[in-house]
Amino acid sequence: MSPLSRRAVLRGAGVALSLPWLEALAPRRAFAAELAPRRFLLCAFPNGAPHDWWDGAPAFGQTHTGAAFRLPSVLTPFAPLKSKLLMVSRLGNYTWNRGGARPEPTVEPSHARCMAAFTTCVDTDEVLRRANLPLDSGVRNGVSVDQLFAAQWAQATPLASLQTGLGVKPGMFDGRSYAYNQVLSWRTPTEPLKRQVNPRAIFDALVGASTAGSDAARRALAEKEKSVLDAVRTETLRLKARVSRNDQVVLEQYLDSVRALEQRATALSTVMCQTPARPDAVPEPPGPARGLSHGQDGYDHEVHADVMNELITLAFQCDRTRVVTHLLDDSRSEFEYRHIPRADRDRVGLAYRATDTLHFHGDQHGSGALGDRVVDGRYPVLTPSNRGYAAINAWLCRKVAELALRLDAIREGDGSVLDHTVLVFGSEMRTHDHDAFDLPLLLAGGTGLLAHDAHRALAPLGQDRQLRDLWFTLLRRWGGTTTVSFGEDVRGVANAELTELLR
Amino acid sequence: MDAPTPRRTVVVLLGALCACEGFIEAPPQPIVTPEPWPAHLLTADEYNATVQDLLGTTSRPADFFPSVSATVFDANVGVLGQVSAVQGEALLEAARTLTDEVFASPALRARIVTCTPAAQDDGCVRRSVGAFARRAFRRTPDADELDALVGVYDDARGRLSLDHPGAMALVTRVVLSHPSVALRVERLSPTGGPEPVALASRLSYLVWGTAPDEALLDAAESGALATAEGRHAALARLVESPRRSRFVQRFFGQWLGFQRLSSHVVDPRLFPRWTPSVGLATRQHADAFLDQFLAGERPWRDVFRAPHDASPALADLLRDDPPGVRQGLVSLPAYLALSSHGAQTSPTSRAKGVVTGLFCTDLSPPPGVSTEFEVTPGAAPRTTREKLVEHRRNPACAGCHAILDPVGLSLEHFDAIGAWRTTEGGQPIDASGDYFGAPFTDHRDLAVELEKDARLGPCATQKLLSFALRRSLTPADQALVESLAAQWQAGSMRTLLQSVVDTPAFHGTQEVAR
Repeated sequence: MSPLSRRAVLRGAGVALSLPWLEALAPRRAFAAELAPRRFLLCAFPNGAPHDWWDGAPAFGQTHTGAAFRLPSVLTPFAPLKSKLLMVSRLGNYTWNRGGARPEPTVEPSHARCMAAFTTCVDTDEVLRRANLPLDSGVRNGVSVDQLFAAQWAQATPLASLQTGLGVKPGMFDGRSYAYNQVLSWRTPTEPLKRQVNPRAIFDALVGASTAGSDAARRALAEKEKSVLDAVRTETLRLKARVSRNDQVVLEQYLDSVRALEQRATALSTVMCQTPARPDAVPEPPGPARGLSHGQDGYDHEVHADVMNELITLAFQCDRTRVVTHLLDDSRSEFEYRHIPRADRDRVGLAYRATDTLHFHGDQHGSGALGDRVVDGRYPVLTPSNRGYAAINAWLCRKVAELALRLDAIREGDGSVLDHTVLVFGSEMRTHDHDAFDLPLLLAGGTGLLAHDAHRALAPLGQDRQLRDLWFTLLRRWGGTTTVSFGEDVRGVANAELTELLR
Repeated sequence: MDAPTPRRTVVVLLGALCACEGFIEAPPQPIVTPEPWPAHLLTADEYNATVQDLLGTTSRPADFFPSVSATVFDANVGVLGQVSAVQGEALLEAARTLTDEVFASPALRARIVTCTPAAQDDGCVRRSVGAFARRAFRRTPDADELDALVGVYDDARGRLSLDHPGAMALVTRVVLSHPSVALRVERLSPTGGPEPVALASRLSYLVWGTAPDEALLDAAESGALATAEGRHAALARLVESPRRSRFVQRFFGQWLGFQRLSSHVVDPRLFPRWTPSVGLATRQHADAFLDQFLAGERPWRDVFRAPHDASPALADLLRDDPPGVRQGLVSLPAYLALSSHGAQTSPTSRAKGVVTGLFCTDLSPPPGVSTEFEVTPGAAPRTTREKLVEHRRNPACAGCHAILDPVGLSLEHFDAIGAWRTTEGGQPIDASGDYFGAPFTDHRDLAVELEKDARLGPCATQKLLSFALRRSLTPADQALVESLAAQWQAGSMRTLLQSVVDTPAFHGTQEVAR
């Protein structure tokens, strides 16, 4: 009865999903340049970045472009895409923080609150207090940036958005709901859309029941599907008439899911992609107590990441959705990155030792300290980041670089899928210190909108710009929304576009 | 309330220094309004157990659900009270795959397809669908609900040209997709409270973590659970069933943290004796220890001195034990390992298990205070005790550590996997100390002091009430906690369960509060 033995795990999925299906899948749909879809992809990693991330960064207020812009060692896998990259430094995300008399860049407890605020820029503690809910179990946030993109583009694709991720070992509590540790997408303030780590479930959502053979078989399947969903809707409405007003709201949410499935069943009748092999499953951790480690039951973290990259690529290439959030691990991750290969370790100067645990949160708290006072236009490195923390970051960077390269390899209209995607890669906190200013951020793609082949360092703490302005700018300029305000600023400062980042 | 004893005063004062969160303000009277509990999702564990018991399947669909979890107990309406788009679709998908699983197996299919209709209206379909829907919905379906399900069957046979098993599969999928399966949803009775049948689910999910069986549904629908005698008889049957192990795992496992054992990381180079099977055995050993408070008459106040069961699987781990050193919760290997870091013990964490776990006294560090050992130049402290003495020189840390350190250090004879040791870093272990003026030599003397603590009973009461009501408690619950605790006197868990089940907040019928 061990919980482990019950699990189907990712075994050999890398083999099952090897290249041929991607080739077979290519939709060969030519988008004219002006019709090329716009997409938004957020790849987030928890627990901040090692100081290596800022090696060679320009001084505050300065920009490096072209040859002067050099990628730090952790980011070198992005090198083939350098002409489509924009590194951004000195962007903060803390002015929503009501922890003290005025917003402080040090947010406690930082992991849960910073992760929750990464895509919403609001203070979940304060939202709960206002709603008179207990901090230990309440779940409330704002609406996340990706969901505003999704609402804007919802009509274009069968899925308004997709939430994916790699976390298979729940992070530690910060005395807050796990929703804050594990979620980037908030459809509404009360609806966290937790990332799906199970490739099979994502595959089903993307490809659906379109696998049936003949037209007649497909029609029969659709009739059965309709019969079930009609009955479920009728019976849910019947129950709804017999419950309290509050419970009616919950049943209405359930009905939303029934309707979404009905719409999808209709949309799938026009088959657009051929069907790749169905990948095996990686289990979603069943609760806070349990998790999966690399090597356990044949689980392979590298393969898991590869399959996720392929599925995200499939989602965009086949135009199943235009918005994806990909959370690479839980905030305050307890995962041990023992699998990181020698090459990634070499890149940051970590000698290979099989016994190194590479425990993410442990290594975040290993040696490493960055100053908070400006010296020569920078925050000085007081103690270099420990190499374990750097190696974990190097691995995370490589996996996202591989995804970006995949997207850039697919031609679409006048460019590539990456050109038509704004990829934001970053973390909810700075580094070892858990501070919420100077977030590590790398943007890729968004060709035509964003400045490229550049590293822009904004002003230092105190005059720094805020992440909410980045989301505000992208929503308006890339999403074409009429957003007038995004996130909160307890100082009462209004949003302003970050024109410094535009072409 | 009696004036606090001098010792109690000290505790409260020190507690306040440590950002103690307790019931401080004057207790408001509880207002008992027997409303239905808010509709909310089953937890992942509950959903898996429910469908396995209902269908006989072995898959665990909820392992793939999106999960959001509360602190302490996962069964909390605060986090389960919404159905996100992802969750809703996962539930509908689970109904589909479970139906496939059932109808791929003749044996499982026969549990639902209990007859073959000989004629159009011989009642076979209505009978088998009705019986299945009752177990699935955890209440007898109304006539119009059953009409609709039979209508789905007839439509499948006619318009969709399905055979009898095919049509039954379709109906099965509709039943499994019904919100009454994945949600705990209580219908309103004509008087405004929950229907009497709701109590069957409240009881079975509390003790068994799964759906009520037919006997419990019968009892609830017949009105037998409206009386205290009826409830006590039903509860006794639930507690005497082997399924009470789910209560031990879920209630104690989440409260005291033993559920985390499966992901506890121990450094294998330092502790080769700790293997996955030993880890599992420590969990079973802990569950057996805790079961005596539920199955037997062992009072909770014995928690620091109750005996351990023999465990052959732990013989190697316990091989160096001198006689008589194992007693009570805190010397369980499960407790000792879980409250340690992978490579070394953490007396602070061990003490927090007592003070915050068993006494419900929050000891959060003050804002801005680091709880890590600081590295100071000069002669490095050698033992954990020396490091803690260093730590305590910081006035910001002293408030809590003065309480915590003696309790934690009393267990220093047990290493990071709970095995006995006599030295640390070449230095002899000193487990002695002073607990509010009472000197002790190790955890066994200290147990005598700890079990006198007035917080022991109210803390367990507070935890069980929160678990049973599936919600976080509020200051409005304080009076109820105090009165239950006063009546209980840290007796057996079984007695406390009975008192909790007898509260109107739990059983949901109008009664005058005591």
